[in-house]
Amino acid sequence: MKATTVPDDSRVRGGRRQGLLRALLAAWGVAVVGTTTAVWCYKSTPGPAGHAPDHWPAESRIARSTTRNSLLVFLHPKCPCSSATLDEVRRVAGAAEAPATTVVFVIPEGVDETWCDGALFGCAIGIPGVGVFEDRGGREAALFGARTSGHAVAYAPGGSLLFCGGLTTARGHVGASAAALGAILRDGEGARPIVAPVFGCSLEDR
Amino acid sequence: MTGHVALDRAEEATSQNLFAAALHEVHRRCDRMFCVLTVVQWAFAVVLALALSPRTWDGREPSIHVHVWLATVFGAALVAPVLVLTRSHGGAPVTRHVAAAVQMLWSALLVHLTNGRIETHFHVFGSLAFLAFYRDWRVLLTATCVMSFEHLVRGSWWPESVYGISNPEWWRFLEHAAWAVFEAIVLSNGIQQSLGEMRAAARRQASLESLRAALEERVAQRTGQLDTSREQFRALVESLRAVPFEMDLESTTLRWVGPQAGRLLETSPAHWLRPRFWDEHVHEVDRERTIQSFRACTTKGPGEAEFRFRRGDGSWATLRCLFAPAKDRPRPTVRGLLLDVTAQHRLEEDLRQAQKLESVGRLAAGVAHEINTPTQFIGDNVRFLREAFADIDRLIGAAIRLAAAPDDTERHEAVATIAGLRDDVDLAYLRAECPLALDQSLDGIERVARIVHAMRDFAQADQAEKAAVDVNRVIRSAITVCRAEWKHVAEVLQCLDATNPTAPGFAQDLGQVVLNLVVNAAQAIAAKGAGARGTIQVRSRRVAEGVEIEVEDDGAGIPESVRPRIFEQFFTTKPVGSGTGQGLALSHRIVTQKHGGELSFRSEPGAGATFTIRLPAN
Repeated sequence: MKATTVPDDSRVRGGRRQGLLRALLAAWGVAVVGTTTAVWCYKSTPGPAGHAPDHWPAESRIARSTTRNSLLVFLHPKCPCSSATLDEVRRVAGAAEAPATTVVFVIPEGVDETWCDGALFGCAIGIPGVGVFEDRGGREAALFGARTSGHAVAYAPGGSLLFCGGLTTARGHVGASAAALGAILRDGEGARPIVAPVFGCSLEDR
Repeated sequence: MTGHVALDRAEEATSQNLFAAALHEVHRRCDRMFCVLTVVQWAFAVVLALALSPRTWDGREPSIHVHVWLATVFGAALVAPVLVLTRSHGGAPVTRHVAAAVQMLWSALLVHLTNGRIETHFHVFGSLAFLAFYRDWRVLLTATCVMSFEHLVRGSWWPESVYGISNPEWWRFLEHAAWAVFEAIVLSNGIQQSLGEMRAAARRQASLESLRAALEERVAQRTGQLDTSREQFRALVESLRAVPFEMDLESTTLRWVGPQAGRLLETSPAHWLRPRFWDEHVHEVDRERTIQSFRACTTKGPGEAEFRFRRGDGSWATLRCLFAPAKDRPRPTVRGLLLDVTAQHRLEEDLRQAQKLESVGRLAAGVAHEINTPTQFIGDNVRFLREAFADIDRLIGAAIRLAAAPDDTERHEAVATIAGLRDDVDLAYLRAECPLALDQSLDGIERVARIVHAMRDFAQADQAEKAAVDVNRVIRSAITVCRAEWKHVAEVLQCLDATNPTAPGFAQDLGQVVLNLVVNAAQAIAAKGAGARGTIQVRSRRVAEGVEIEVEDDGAGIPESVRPRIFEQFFTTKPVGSGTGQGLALSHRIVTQKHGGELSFRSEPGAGATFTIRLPAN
C-alpha cells in the first residue's frame, strides 16, 4: 500500500517567512549602506571652487596686515555648515603666529538689515582677535573669488596669496584641514599658494 | 543569592524551561524597550537636525538641509526594522541583533547630525550598556562588529569624520574597537552574573513549583477525603430519625435545621427558620421551660428536655431534645438533636399501665383478703341478726297478740307465751349482741369501702394534665391498697404533714410510686428474715422547693454493689418471678421526667433504706 505524504503547511509557511525576512533585512542593509554612502558623498562634495587673486586686490576695503599673514574667511550668515569653519577660525586665531583674521559675512543684495544677525554672526564676533566685516552685495567676495561659505584666503604680509580654500575637510564637519592650517600659519612669502576644496552653502543665488 | 538547590531530573527540566521562559521574557521586554528607545532617538535626531541645520542656502535662497531629510527618512529606516521585528519576532535572536546593529547606526547618524562632535561618540558606549539589558553577550558582539566595520570603512575613506585626524594609522579602528570590546567584556561579565542569578531563581522556582504541586496533590487528596467525609456525615445526618438543629438563643430563632425535619415532623425546613416558629409550634406550657433549659446549658453544659410539639398537620408530638452550647458562635447558640419520642411515650404509658395492672394483680389476693375478712364477719353478723330478728319477730307477734287479747284468759296465755319466748330466744343476749353486730358490720362495710376507694384512686384513669395532688391522700391510698403486702411483716407509721401539702402532678402516677416504694420496703424487711416485724415510716412534709415524701424501712438495706444500677430498667435483685425490674425504673422516670422532681435514696446495708421523693412546687 502506497503511503500518502501530507505536506506540512505550517513548516512551508515558516520557511517562506524566514526567506522573506532575510530578503527584507538584506534590502534594508543595502538601503542603509546606500544612504550612508550618499550622505558621505554629500558631506565630502565641495562647493564651487573660487579663484583668489595672487595678490591682495587694491580695491578691497579690508585692510591687509603688513606685519603678519592676513586671513579672510567668507561665510554665508545662515549657513549651518559654517560653524565648523568658525571652530577652525577660533583655533587659528589662538595660534602663536596667528594671522590677522577677518570673518567676512557675505550679505546678498536686497535683504534687510537683520538678515546677517544669527548664531553664526554672534559666534564670530565672540572670537578674540578676529575682525568681522559685513560684505553687502558680495563685493569683497567677488574680489577674493569666494563662491562657497567657508572660503578662506590667506595672504602673506607682502600681499602674495598663501592659501585659497576651506578650513574643514567636509561639509559642516568638525575637523581641520591640515594643509590649510599649515599654509595659513607659514611664513611663505612668494611661495606657491595652496588650494583646498571648500565645503559649505553657496554664496551665490542659484 | 545563588545558593545551589538540589533538584531531581524533572525539576531540572522544569528549571531549564523556567529559565528559558524568563530569558525569553527579558528579550521581549528589551525588544519593547528598544522600540521606545529607537523612536525616541528618531524624534531626537529630527529635533537635532531642525535645531542645528534646518536649512541649507544658495545665496538668498534656502532649502531644507539634507540633515533634516537624513534624520527623518534614514531615521525612519532605522526605526522600522526594530518595530516590525519586535511585533513579528518578539524575543527572537534576529530582533535583538538587528536592534544592536540599528543602535550602532544611530550612533553614526547622531555623529553626523552633530557635525562629528567627538562627544557624540559616547553614544556608542551608552548603546552597549542598553544592549546589555538583553543579557546576551552575542548582541554586544554584533554591535561591536558593526561599529568596528563602520569605523574601518569610514576611517579608510574619511578618517577625519571618525578619528578627527586626516592620516591615522591603519589599525586605528582596532583601537576604537578595543574600547568597545573592553566595555562589552565588562558588560558580558555582568550578563553572566545576571544569567547565573536567573538560573538560580529558576531552580528555586522549580523547586517551589514541585513543592506546590506536591502540596496541591495533597490538598486535593485531603479535599477528596473531606468531601467523602462530608458526604458521609450528610448522609448520616439525613438518615437519622432525629432532627439536628441550631438555635440563636437571643432571638429564639432556629438558624439551621436538618432536612429530615419536614419528613419526620411534617413541617418544611424553611418553615422552621421563621422567627416565630418556636412560639407557634411548641406547647405554651413547655415553651419557656425549654428555652430556659437551652439558656442554662450555655453555663452548665449539655442537657436534655422534653416538650410537646405541634406538627404541621396539627397533631401533637412529644420531642426529646438533647442539646449542647455551640461555643464556636459569637452569639449564644445551642445545637442539638430533636427526637420524636411520641411512640416511646406511648409505649412507656402502656408499660406503666401494665406495671400498674401487675401491681393490681399482685395486690389482688391481698386486697381480696382484706375485703373477705370484713365480708365474712359482716355475713356472720347479718346471719346472726336474721336469726335474732326471727326470735324478736316471734316476741313481737306474741306482743301483738297480747295487745289484741279480748279477755284476760287470752291475755294470760299471751303473757305466758311471751315469757316463754323471752327465755327461749334469750332476749337479754340479743339485746346486748345485736347492736354490737350492727356496729361491727358497719365497721366492716367502712373497711371495704375504704379499700374500694383506695383501689379506685389507684386504678383511676390517668390525667391528661398536671393537677394539684393531695400528697397525703395519695400516700394513704397506696398504703391501704398494699396493706396485704406489709401487714404480716411490718407496721406502717404515717407521719404526714398536717397541712395537707399539694404539688402539681399526676396523682395516679405518684400513688404508683409510693406503692412501689412501700411494697419494696415490705419486701426488704421480709428479706431481712429473723421473723421480727419491721417498721415502715412514710413521711410527707412541705419544703421550700415543694413537697418531700420519704419511705423509710429498717429492712435489709441496699448492697453497695447494686446501688449504681438500682434505677435501671429490668434490673432486679429479686428471685425470678418475684420482680420484673420495672418498679424503681418506672418510679424514677415518673418522678424525674413527668414531675421534674428527684427520687433519691440512702441506705446502710442491714440497717434499711430511705427513699426520698422531691416534688417541685412549680
